[in-house]
Amino acid sequence: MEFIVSGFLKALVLLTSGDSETYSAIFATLRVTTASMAASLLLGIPLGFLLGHHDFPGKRQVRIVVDTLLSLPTVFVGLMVYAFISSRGPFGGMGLLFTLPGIAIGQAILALPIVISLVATATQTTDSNLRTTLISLGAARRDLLLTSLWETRHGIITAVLVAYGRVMTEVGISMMVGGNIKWHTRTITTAIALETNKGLFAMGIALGLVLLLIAFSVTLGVTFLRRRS
Amino acid sequence: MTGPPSPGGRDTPPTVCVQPLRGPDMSSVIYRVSDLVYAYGNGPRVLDVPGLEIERETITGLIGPNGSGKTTFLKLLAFVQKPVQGEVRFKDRPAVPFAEHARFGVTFLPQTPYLLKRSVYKNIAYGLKVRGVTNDLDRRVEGALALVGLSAELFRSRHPEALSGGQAQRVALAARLALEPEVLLLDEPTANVDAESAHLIKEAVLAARQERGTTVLVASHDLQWMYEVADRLLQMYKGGIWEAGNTNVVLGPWRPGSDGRWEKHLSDGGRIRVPRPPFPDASAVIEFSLSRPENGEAGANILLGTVSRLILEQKREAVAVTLAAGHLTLTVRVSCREVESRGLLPGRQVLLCYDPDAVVFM
Repeated sequence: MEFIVSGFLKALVLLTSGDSETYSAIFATLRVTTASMAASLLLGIPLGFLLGHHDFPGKRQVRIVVDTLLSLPTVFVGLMVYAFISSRGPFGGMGLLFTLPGIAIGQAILALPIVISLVATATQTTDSNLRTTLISLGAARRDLLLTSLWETRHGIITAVLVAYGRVMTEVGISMMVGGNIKWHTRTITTAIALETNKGLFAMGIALGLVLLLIAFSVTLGVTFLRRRS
Repeated sequence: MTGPPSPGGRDTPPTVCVQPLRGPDMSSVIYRVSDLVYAYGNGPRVLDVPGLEIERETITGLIGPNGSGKTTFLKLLAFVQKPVQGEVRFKDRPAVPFAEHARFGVTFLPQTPYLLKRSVYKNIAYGLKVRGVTNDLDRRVEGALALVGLSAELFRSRHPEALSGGQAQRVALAARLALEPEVLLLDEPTANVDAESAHLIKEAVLAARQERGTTVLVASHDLQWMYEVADRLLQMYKGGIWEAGNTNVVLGPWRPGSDGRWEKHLSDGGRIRVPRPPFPDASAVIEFSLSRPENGEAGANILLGTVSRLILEQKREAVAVTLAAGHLTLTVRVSCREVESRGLLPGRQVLLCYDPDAVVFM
């Protein structure tokens, strides 16, 4: 028990003293998750809207595939991305292996089905009279799309929260694709795993606290947005 | 003139005769519907309107039981959905969803209106903004709220969750009235609202027609209101449409009777005799009248009915007489003079006549 208490105390020292190694992992995490979330939202929101709003042949099958991908194992994503961007893979020449963009690609793949599925669900559960109402008020196709998206904003915010939680806390992709290189691709989760293996709990706990703080900040921001909208 | 469905088999849809065309600039017709068919997927036809015209600046009432196609018809006229066959011409030009000449001219209020997740003010201003109206928004929003009897001061900032059902319905109507549309399509606007809201909605609809010349089509089960305000009443049943008059729908089952006729036995012992139906549970469209047809078989096509209600149709100077015949409720129209000469009053028994050979099955 003593080593846990001591770990917490040391963690506070690391955070308050601005320990460069700790903050390197924090900033790497923020950069990579921001990039992966941006990509997954840019792709996932329109695709989720299409899946939820439009009827097309094979829609049910597509939905089953997307929902299955919700439980994608991170190590499998890491493995596949690694295979594609390693020197023997089709994108080996792009130099993405052991880089933050490489991790971001893997995390975007992880987040994409979550965004698509939850946005599709939010769109499907929107009142069927929304479309009728908007058209009868004179909305053009563009107005129809934008207003429908705005009306599902709470569902989209939920999708963002869930997806962000998933990419923020994953280890497999960051470890396999990023390589956990100190000062370079070491993220909060890979650092916690490494430091714990070394028996150095203080940094692990410090980084864990930062993860919780980030999660709390995101939730607070989202709650604020929800109340405003 | 339009008339009840023509005699024929089950596949023969009721027809409303198309009036002669007028010059495009002089046309008083705002909608011209031809061969309109709607079906869900590969399912059966839920709407089949061979031809229909709607005059400008009129109030047309659509009456009929649930599932008769009223909402589908209104949605097609609102260009919210596309027919699987046929055409709706708006102001002498074919129109489809998002058609420029119809998009800002027609507005539709569904039975359960959707209010956007924003304030009452923004809900009403939405359609105006879509039309590019930026000036005078406050005045138009407040004017629309006043039309439906809601105080702008009290309601403009409220969100939908803070409105009662009747208030939400009135806000939704205000959002349509603010657009000053050429055509206002209403689907059961007074269903599920209290008497005061219903009264205010009716007043607002009448004001729109009287003050701005709005053409109104309204589907409603409120027959009293329909008979009072509608310039024209259309009856719908099983996707068919025809002028409401003395035509009544009598549901099966039918049983084989004497001399090749089929019969429906009423609870008071009366019988309605019809030709052989396409199937025993077919619905028959029968035109009843209070006078005995000259070529009728004596006693065979007469029914005893009891007057249960009289409604004055002010627009047509006629009276809709509702009668109970066994367990059936039938309506016939007579002139005011005939009501007086026959001494028609609730409780009075009268003879109803019909022509079995003019019966249409659906």
